[in-house]
Order: sequence, then C-alpha cells, then structure tokens
Amino acid sequence: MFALKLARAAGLKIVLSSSSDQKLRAVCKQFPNPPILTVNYAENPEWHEDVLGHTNGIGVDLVLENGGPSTLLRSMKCTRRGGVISQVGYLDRKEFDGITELLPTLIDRRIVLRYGIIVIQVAISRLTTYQRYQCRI
Amino acid sequence: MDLDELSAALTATRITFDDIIDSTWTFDNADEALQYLWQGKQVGKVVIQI
Repeated sequence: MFALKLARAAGLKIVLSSSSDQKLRAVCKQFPNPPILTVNYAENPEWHEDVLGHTNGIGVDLVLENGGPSTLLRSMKCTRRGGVISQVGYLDRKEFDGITELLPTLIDRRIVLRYGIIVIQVAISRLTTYQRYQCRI
Repeated sequence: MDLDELSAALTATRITFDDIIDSTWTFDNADEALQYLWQGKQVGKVVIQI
C-alpha cells in the first residue's frame, strides 16, 4: 500500500494483484481516480495474461514482487522488455515453479531482477522532478 | 536507498499515509496484532502504538 501511494503520487499506472476480490474492491473504492487495474491471481492461474491484457500485451515497466518462487516466473512473463522486477519478499517459500523457464525468460525479456525498493526510487525521481517543476512555476 | 531523500520527497509533496492504516493496536495487544497480520486479512498497515 505504501508503494501504491508512492506510485500514485508519481503518476504511474497501477495494476494491483490480490487473491481477494474483496480487498481489490476495497482499494479501488478508496483510490477511484484514475481507476486502478486489478488482477485476481487466485481466480486465474494464468494471471500474467490479465496483466498483459491491461498493458496492450507489452507488460508492465516495474513489478513489486512479493510472492517469490511461485510467482516470479509469471511476473517476468508480464514485464515489458527491459523492465524491472523488484523482489521485496518471498511469502510462499516453496520450490520454484517453472525453474527451467526462468533464465530463458530473464534473457529473452532483458529483465532487470533486483531486490527492494526501486518503486521508491522511481517515485522519488518523479516526485523531485515534479517538485522542481512546481518551483519553476 | 536514501531515506532522507524519501523524507524530503514526501515532505515536498505532502503525502500522508493515514489513509492506508488498516488498524491500530496497543503494545499490550502486540501478540494479537501479529496474529492478525499472519492471517493476511489486513489491507494496508497494522500499527502498534508504543
């Protein structure tokens, strides 16, 4: 939610995923404009297709990856070429799904996989740009 | 990551985070708060007051 607020402030388009439609509805209701796009990964095991659908098949610029072994490959499949995946956790702690596909996907899509808080950095760079812009006016 | 930079950006843009607090717990109920967190039902932050 912290990242959501920062992303929002930085003017990024947000695709939010959860296993609970109730949670998704609650957040969308709280942040109605512009609308947040949602993906329910419990309802659709091929949820990365939903994300691609939200982004004209291109994929997102930035993933805040919290799932880990069971979600990373799918996150990679819906990240745009050259996009960044920021691993902030590994909630499920299982063995990797699709381990043989992992590295080929990483290379095919030129993905930058890193730890932590890139969303904050992106937000800060946008916010400071915004701040400078404000100062100029 | 520079937290000073984050703080500066937050101050400049006057972002507040009150609206993403799910619930607030007293320190005495910290155990309960953690249980609640592990249930994964929260939307937003679980705050323990100290």
